[in-house]
Amino acid sequence: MKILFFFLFFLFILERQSELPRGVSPENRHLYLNKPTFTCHDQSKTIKFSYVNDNYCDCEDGSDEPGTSACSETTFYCKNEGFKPKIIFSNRVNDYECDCCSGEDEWETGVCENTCLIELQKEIEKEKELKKQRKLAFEFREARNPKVFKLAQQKRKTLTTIEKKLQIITQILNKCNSIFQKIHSGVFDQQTQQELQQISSMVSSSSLSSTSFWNQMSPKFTRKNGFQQKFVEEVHKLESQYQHLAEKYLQLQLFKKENLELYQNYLYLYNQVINFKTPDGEYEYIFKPFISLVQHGLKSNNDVTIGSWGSLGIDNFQENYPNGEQCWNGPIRKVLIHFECSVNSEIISIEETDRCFYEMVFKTPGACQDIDDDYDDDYKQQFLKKSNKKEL
Amino acid sequence: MLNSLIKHSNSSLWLKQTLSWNGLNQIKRFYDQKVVDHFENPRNVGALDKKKQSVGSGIVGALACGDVMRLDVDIDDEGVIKQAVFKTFGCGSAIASSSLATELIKGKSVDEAMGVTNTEIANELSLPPVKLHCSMLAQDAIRAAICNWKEKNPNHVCVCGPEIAMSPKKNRIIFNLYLATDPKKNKQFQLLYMKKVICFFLFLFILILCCECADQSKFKLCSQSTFCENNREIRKNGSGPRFSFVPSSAKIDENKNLFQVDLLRFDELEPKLFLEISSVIPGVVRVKINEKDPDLNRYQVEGVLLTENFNYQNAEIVTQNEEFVLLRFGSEKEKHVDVKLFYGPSWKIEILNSDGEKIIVLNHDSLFNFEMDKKDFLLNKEKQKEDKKEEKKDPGKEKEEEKEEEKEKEKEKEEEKEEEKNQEDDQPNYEERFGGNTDSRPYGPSSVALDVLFPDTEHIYGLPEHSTKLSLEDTEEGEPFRLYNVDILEYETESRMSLYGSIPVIISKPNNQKTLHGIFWFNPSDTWIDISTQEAQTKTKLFGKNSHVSKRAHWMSETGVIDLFIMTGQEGKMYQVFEMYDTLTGFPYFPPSFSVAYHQCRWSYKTQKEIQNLNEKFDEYDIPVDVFWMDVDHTDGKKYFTFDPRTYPDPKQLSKTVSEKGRQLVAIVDPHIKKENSWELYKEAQSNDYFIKKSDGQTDYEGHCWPGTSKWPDFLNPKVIEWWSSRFSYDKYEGSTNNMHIWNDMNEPAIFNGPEMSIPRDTIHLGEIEHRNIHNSYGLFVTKGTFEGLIKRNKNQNERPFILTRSFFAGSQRYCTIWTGDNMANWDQLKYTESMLLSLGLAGAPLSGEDTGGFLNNPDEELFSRWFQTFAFHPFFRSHSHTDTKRREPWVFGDPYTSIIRESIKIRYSLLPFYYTQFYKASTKGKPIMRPLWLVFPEDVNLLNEEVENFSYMVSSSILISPISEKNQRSKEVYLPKGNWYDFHTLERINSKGKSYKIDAPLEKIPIFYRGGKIVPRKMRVRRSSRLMENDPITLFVFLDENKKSSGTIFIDDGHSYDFKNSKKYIHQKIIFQNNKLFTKTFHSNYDPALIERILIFGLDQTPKNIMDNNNQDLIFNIDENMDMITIKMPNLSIGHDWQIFIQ
Repeated sequence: MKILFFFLFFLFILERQSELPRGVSPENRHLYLNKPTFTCHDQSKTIKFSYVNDNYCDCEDGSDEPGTSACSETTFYCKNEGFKPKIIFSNRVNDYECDCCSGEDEWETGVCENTCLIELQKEIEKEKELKKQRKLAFEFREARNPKVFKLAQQKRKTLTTIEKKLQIITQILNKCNSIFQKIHSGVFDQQTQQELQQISSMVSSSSLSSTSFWNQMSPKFTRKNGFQQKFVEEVHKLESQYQHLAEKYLQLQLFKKENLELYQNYLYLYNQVINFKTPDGEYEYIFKPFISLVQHGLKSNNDVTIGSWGSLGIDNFQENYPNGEQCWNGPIRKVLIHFECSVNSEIISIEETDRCFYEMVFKTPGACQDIDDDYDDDYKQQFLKKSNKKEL
Repeated sequence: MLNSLIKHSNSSLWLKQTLSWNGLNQIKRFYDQKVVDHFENPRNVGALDKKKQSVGSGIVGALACGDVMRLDVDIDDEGVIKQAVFKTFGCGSAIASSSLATELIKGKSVDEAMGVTNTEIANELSLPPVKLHCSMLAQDAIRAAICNWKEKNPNHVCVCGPEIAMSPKKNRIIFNLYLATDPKKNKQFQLLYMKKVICFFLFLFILILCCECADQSKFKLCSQSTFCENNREIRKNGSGPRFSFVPSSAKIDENKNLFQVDLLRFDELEPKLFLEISSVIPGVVRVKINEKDPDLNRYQVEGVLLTENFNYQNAEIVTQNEEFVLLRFGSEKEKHVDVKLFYGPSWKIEILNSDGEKIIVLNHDSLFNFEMDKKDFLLNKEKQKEDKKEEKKDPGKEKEEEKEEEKEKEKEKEEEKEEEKNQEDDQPNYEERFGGNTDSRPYGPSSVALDVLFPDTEHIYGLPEHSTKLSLEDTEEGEPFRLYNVDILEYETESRMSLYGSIPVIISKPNNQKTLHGIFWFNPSDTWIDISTQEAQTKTKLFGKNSHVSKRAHWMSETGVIDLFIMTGQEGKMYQVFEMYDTLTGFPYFPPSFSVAYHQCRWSYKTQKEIQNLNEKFDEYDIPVDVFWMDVDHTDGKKYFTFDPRTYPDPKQLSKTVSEKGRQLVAIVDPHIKKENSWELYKEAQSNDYFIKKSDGQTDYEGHCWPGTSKWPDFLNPKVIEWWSSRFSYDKYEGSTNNMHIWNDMNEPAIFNGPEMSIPRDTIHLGEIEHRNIHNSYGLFVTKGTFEGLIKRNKNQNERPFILTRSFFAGSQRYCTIWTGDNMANWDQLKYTESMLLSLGLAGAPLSGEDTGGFLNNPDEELFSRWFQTFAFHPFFRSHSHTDTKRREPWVFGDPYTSIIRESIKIRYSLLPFYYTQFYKASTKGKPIMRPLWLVFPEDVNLLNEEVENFSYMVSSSILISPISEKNQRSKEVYLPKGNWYDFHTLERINSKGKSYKIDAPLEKIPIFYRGGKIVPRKMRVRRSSRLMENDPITLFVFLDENKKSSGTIFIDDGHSYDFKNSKKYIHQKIIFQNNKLFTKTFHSNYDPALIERILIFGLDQTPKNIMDNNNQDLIFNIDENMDMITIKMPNLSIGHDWQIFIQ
């Protein structure tokens, strides 16, 4: 009974579709009802209905020729029965090139065969393959990610310590800055001395590695020759500490709470190194997820960081690694990573698509969607119904 | 968090540096470790006390060009360099080069140090080719420093005068280090030296203020070219050595087409020269002057003219008396040309048209010069000196300014000294040095020069390729126009410097006449042309005083013979001169139809995949494209005729992929051959001895180009052309296919380390011909070989080649399309390239275009869009960009710009039937495709005084384009000659009285007009590529003039083969509107007819009741009264059939 109903429904659809002028999508059906006249969609003109699809462009908006190439800037709707419908530019109609699997775009030239069934089968095969991949990827992630997650608890502590230290150093450096400016302009007053003392206590209270210089900063401290130079030296030391810590900090950023959530599918990539050699044999790329992408010149033997991981959000499985090294006379290098689903992690390609802007295609299990049943597309259902019917 | 921390800290300036913790060691990526090392740890930075006697200091380079190098040396009494230090402002390579230079010369003797060459430095550092100039700079710096020391220590006399010269454009100063190894020879410079040094530093200071610069110091100025300066000197002195015709020797040969006469120098007994006059085709006179009995035969050009078997015109002597002889060429009354030869004291030739009007006068001002041999050169100098003295004694004659006189005196002194020196030596040395290179000039001076007067002519045109205004300006105040093919990066507008190609043709437009004449100076050696205006007052009884403005061109060529063609046009025939010129040098080739469409290029699409992606992207954005271009990187190590197996693994597949959508590929093939012994092609050329030789005539010349050390095939050798062409066969050129076409670049030839970026002039071609003789024609011969190759690669030899060239000469139009080389993305270039293309068209090379968007630098969205809007109308339409620029495929900028560009390209595609017809016409009649307005409207005198700002041009004589070449310009004053004009975008009519109209030019459009009286065929179904549009129907746009008339032609064939020629398979039809009737006139119809889907008639001013075809069938039509437009729907007619339509 059910089958019969479907069958009737199918016929009904077919019949309704047959009424439609060529190239009109079902949604626009109401615009092409068979009447004696046709009014251009922009209301500019009313013409005989026989002028619709007569291979001559009467309407300025091209609405009278949905099924031919006579008008520019319009589209053609391929029904592609048995597969997905497709909308193409009408300048592709009857140009001896097959753009619809049904071949209906070449209705006049007749140079195309109907390949929709083949397309559908391909698509289903692909889906199957994807499903399999997704399953494997899921298993892979389940096996690896929890380990990194455990590690994270530990690392997070380090991260907090570093963060605190960095904050202190920043404060100190800012203070030093104002002190320096004063000293530089020849002022060394009580306030300066107080500030120096403050710094001294900040240094000692934090666990920064410090030198005797800061310990000298007692209230009785007086300025000696060479003070300024020493001061600057100390600031430089602090800076290098800062730099050192900042690098460490960046490497641990994955373990921030928000990042752990954001990248929960990708945690297994921590501490991984993925290499890729360009086809021309010029470069090898060294990709350290969550850290950086480095370009290694195989001939010049030089390394250039083309992107460093920032704490930027993930967007459509694309991720930015900005802040690479600056190009000679050019912009700062950056990388955009396109994630694709795969069972193994590998780089597919890296190309400099614009000057100093790289795009990398990276396949990895983390990019695979979770398994779900998504056989909901109409055409697939129809196909399944059909094949079920056959089986019946 | 961290980012904010960093930002926070950055607020303090002095901390900033240390916090940029990424470490900017970017130069590492490209360079050898040594460069990086010398850059990171430069040795010997600093300066020495210049006041010290033992210290020599040299500054070279131009800050404006990017690099300035100061090198100081401290030299002990033995002449050994104790210390060398430098300061360099410039790129890493420049710093590394100077650092290494100091290392190299330390401890060396002065002479040894002078011997350090740039190659040594470059090799040591393995500099990439683009940075070779840095090592040259270092070499110059060493020499300058040592010379400076020698200055101070006169026991080691040596003079290096930095030559300072102002280029015509203000704010640009160029200087050049002159260096002499022979201390005796250049004493004269010493006098000027101190003065110059002061100026030098002053200029250096000014240099800091200026910003734009092509590296002009690499190229000669007239003053740096001996023969140019000598010939200019002759002009300054009034005249050259006087020659007269020997009346007794005058004779016409037995075939009655060649007149000969001897030329005798006033101070000699025997004539050494002779002159020949003939008329090779009706209206064209050839004048040739050569040595009678030369010690050494002068080179006479071969292979440039289409043929040497001319249809000689009959010559007869009309009158002969003591003063002159009058010759007549051609028997036909209307078409004959008269030539009047005045015997002398200084010979003169007048060319007269059939009405007896003077068209052209040769040697009017006695600037004729013919340097014959070394001895002659010396005598000549002597004489000049005497002449000068004589003239100086004559105070009435002198009107020169005092300053000039001073200069002259100075020069005189210099010359005297030089002469003394020369006389001291038994063997005079004619070496010419420039930019660190020495031209041995073993044959001594052999320049030829002649002045050509265009009487009663205010405007002359031509002499491409120069980035100047179309009408040639006077050059007395600055540099002459130069024709010497060179590779010039970042060339500038309004400069008379030579560029990539040259056509020694001047077209003259006589005042108040509707005709054009032309001069073709047939000499491919280094040529300079000075242009000047002469005003003469004549009195006539009727009109009183009359002032005549004439133009004079002073031609100066380095060597060869004098051989020139004078093309005389008849009144009322504006295009005759082009046909004459093409009969001599060949009509333009007729490339396949895809070449008329849009081309997409970039240096480089590095992988096959990139092109495949483009192929998809263009479709995705619905932008039509026909051709994808593969620049140098597609080759395997810059070995042409190969593909890089890693990046282009399957070029045949690529070819197939793009051809599925009717698209094509173009691959670059340059004429430099990588010196690589294991490469089969190199071996083949090497074993057959196909390369150009050094001046010794024995060893192969080697130079630097893209692949590194390379050699250049001797295309003067017919066997080499044969070999080169054989390399294009599909089996030898692996991966090539029949939809892959060829681009010949760097064929000047361009050589990174050569003099003036090219090959030394004393290199030797087959038959011991010195390169200087043929230089400008080298590029032509390369394309000739390529053309033959592309013909031969197909068995039936029936496919039309498409070739693009950068270098060209007269005759190149037979083989290839030309583009204007490496332009820049700025508004100025947008403005001037169109004059360049117009000039090319007038000089017989109508198939030309340029890098749309500008090759160098990044155009902004507006510039890029404007560029497409006007360049879409140029004969060759290709977008190209430098590897250092941002990507700029048409979709990169996004809307509205992408839409604007899409629209521009689609307009071009819709006009393909029209353009293709113009290409065909160019190939049969030689008519330019892009035309200046005055060519189409010769009666409108307003048009002659072109103003760059209000510049417009025509495509054929049907469409007027007025480019927008200012940023933010949104309207333009457009001059429309008298008549009907129809706005291209709105189709509104303007009935012009011959004045300017303010036309809106929002970002979306530029002013474009159809001309009333013209029918334009279009295809309104624009598809992905031109081939996919082949079978589409045609729309006829009929624009009526004030008399309700109109006409237009259309040519159709298969678009790719020679069938149109060999089996006459084509349609050539004229469509005419007259007396309310539209009808055809078929010249030829032997191809598939093309359906007409629509006919639009504009400007009829009446409402027709019915429209019928010749079968009395009523046609469906539509009237838009506002627009005065009649639309005939599907008239069921075809191009190729005869038909008529009646409007009632």
